[in-house]
Amino acid sequence: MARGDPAELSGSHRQLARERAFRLLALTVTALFLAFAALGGAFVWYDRAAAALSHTHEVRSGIDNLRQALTDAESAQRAFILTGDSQFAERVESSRTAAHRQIDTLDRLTDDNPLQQRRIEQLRGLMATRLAIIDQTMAARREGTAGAAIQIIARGEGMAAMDGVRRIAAELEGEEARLEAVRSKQVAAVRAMLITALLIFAGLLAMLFVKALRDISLDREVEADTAERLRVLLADRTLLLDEVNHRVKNSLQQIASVVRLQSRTVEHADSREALEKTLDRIIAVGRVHEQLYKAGGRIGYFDAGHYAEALARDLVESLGREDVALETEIQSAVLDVRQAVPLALILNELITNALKYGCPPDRPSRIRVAFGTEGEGYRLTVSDDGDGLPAGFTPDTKKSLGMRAIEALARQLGGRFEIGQPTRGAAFAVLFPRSQ
Amino acid sequence: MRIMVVEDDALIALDIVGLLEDLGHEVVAEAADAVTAWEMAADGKPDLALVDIRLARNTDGGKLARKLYDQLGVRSLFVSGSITDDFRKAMAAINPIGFLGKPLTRRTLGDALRHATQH
Repeated sequence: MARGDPAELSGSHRQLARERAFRLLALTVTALFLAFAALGGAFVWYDRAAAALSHTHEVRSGIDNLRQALTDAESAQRAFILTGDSQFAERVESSRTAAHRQIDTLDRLTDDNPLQQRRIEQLRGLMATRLAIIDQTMAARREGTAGAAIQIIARGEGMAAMDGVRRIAAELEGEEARLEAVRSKQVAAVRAMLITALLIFAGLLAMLFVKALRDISLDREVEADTAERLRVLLADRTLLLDEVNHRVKNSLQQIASVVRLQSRTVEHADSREALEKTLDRIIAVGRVHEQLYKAGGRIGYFDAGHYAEALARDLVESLGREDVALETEIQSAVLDVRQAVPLALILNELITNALKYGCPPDRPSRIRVAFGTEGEGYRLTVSDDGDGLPAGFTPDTKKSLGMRAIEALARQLGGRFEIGQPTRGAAFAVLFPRSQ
Repeated sequence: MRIMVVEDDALIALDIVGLLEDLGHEVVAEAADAVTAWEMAADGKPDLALVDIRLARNTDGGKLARKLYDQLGVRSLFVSGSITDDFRKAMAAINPIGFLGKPLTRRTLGDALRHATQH
């Protein structure tokens, strides 16, 4: 066929489609996996950036608190110098404690940043100086009047230390502000990435879904296509087989017709008989064909039992003698197609022989046809109750075509031809094995 | 009986005519295609027609048989190398005498015709 074998064509087409689908699937799954990993990474990153940002906030509020504590200490000191009230001395103490706590906190918070650490050390020194001077002024106030304390203040060391504190605090804060700006930018970027990764992930999932749907419909199309092609192919083959069957039968009919027409024209009885025999053989083959290719039946199914029964009945009945009885003992057996024609021809020879030589015209006769399994093979027996064979008869003694043909056909079946020794009449058997 | 033989293969037709005459029938018409067969049947109606299914000039024995039965009441005996179950079913309505496979034997033909005369 010009378009090639449809089954094969669609097979390779499906194979290609499968390979393509597999590659696409592998690619999509890999992409999904990567997108998923990116998503996870981005989450971790986002978490860290957010933590860093809140850390910066903590540092900045720590700096504010420290400044506040020191300012509070200064205010309390001034109030103490003015009033000498001990509650202000207590307030100085609590502010000192707060200031120490804050600077420790800052120290801890910035331990990852050497620059800030250095600043904190400076701050610690300045803070100590400032607090020491406050202590001095307060001690002076306790011992005498405010004048001595004010003198100490007027020296300006405390102010200078406090200015230093403010300056360093501003520096610390400036650095943290810079860090905060950088980190909030990072957080924004990571957030954007996270959203992008999520969108890609969702997109890939959607693609995978659409692809699966398309694959399913493609597969269905391919399947429907294959089924259609097979239907067409089957229809073609059925038509072809019917055509060949018809031609074979017509050809057999043509041959049979020519032989029959010829037999009609010959005068000589022997010649006519030879042609009639030939005709019988052609018809026996025709019957095999009829059974093998019966329209609508199982092709190549040959039931030897069924064939033997029908052929025996036909041959006996066409003899047209009421006094010839047919007795059959036939088992149904499905044979290999290759065994059909040889067995049919053997049957035809044996039965026509029995009718010709085993049924004397002057008395009623009986012909017996038996077929069935024997051991691993089959046995066909045809016997009659006629006058029997001449003494010492073998297939070779009488060089008839029939006997030689039976021997040859039995060999073709892988079996053997046996001549029985019945007390009455003649008996012939062919034994042959099952086809391998 | 007066029989019409419709068969496109000349030698097979000749053989069938011989067999029918042997069986004591009269062959009144011979045709190789459905058109000629119909004209002949219309001219002189036979008792029955022996019809091959595939005929010369791509004509159809089944259609011919239907027309013969519907318009002339002539029943057919089909003789063909390919008789399907579908064909048998399709022809059941025109009351055919029978369906004979090829190759034909004197006996199968004789039996089929004896069957026809009994009914």
